Amino acid sequence: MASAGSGDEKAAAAAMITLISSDNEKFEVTEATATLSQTIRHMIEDGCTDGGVPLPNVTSKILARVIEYCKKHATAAAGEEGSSSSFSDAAFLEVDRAFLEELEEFDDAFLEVDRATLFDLILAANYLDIKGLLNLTCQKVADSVKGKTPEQIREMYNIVNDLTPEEEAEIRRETQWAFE
Amino acid sequence: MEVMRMKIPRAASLPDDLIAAILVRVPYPSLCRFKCVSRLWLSICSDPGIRRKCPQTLSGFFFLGEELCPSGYAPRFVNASGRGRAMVDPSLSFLPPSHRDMTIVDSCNGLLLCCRLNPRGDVSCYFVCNPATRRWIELPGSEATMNPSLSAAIRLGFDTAVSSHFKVFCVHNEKDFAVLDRRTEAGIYSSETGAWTYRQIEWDDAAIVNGSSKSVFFNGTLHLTTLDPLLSSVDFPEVDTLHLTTLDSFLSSVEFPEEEDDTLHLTTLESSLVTVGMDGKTWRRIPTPRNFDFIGASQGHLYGVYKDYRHEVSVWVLEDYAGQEWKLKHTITGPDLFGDSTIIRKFHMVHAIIHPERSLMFLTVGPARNLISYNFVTRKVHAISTLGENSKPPCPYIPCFSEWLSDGY
Repeated sequence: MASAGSGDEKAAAAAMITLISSDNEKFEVTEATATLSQTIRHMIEDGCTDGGVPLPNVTSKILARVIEYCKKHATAAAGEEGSSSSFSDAAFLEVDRAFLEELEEFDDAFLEVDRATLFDLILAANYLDIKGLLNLTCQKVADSVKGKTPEQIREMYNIVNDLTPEEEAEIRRETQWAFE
Repeated sequence: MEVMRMKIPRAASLPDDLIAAILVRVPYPSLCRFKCVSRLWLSICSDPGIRRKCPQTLSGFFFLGEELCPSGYAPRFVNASGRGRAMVDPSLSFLPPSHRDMTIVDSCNGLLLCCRLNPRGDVSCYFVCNPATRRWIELPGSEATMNPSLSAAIRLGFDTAVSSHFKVFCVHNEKDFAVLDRRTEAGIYSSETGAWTYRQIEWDDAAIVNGSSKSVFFNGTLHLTTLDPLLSSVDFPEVDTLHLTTLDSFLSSVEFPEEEDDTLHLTTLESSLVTVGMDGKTWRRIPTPRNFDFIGASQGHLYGVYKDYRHEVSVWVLEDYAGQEWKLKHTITGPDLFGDSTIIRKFHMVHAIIHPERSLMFLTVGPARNLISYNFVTRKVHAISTLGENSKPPCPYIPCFSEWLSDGY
């Protein structure tokens, strides 16, 4: 199956895929861009992308951002062709440094969004199975929470503390070092 | 048309596995603090698997850089990619001030072995710390660790796949002059028992292990390079003036320079690694084709790195650990690293570290101690950082978030 597919893939290098957001907006992207999503890659492999790929979990606003990310990173992925390695492998040596720096700047700018959008991007990256984007967005949230106190976390994310005062005191005693 | 409402982001709106995907990326102390957030966060943060979900690989290097402080050095960290923030506290600020004047002696799977220096610059104690969990433990002194004249190789052994406890090896040659070079002793500290035990072995011929032996902890066994009593006394550029008849008894092979390849390789009978197991009972010698300058392990194989007198670097691999056949895998010259146009044929390799999972080698080169990576497959070079002229050798660091302190602490 894999060998038969590889010939087709080459022929379809410039093939376009239509993605349809939950609010029915259509986005036309190249297959190279779309297949950064493992979910879409599998759909293409199964030959069920004719007439567009409906993505009922992703709004047009988020899908536009996700496509922006994939377009940029598809270029980077092209450089790693043939290597079975993860993206972080590529981050080492496969791609030249100047391009990596540019990519890094792009990622930084890409993440300049409000918290709600960031969460929507995480959900979309997870649903579409785009590892790089999921890593990037999760890391962004992790960076923003890591220095915070439990109180600040609850406030930031509207979380209700359902621990009893006794339970909380007990946990604090156990993790005292982490508060110092 | 629906009116857009301002959404309040709620972590609760993310499924548990995505909250976990975020929390695997926070430093360990934050993870512990976040247990207090809510019942759900308590269960996510308490899951012992949360750290295991995040594959840990070589994150970067700890090294000592020059600093305006009593010892003149302070711990620093550089990511293997050369960019981004350190995953753990690079300054080891969790150590008490009394332990900040120190030297990093060795690193192994997430732990650092350091020695604390007194104001005169002498070793006053050894300690092991885990920068990821911010824990540290001082080792009780032993005769060999506290006696600089013994010149012991003091090294760490730690592998969570084998044990949650670590060992510290203190390997040196016997003081007794009659058996000098032939009897090797190992003091082994176990974090499980909190005590040192001693073992020794007598070899058939010399095996000099000392503080400058290079080492790697691999397969639950410490591997050390041995020093060659002969080669250490030979001045390579003047080798042709040596009396080769007297050398004959020491040398197993001499490859004379030829016109095309004027490399001279000296292999002595003593070229070997010494290995000692976690319990100190299993000793072995592994003959090596060269007197390796550095050793390492990658993808289940033992590697040796050798720099010849022309500064050409060869990388060898022991593909079959039980066998003794080393294969020459790569040869690296100045032009490989700096391009064909370079006139720098002889580059000055100061230190070499083999990446544990990838076909990569890290090198520090030149007087400024430039840290570079070299990909064996693509032969591409990537500049990572400049560590500084007087910096100490970089120690590879793989974060480890498991608890490692014995119950006694």
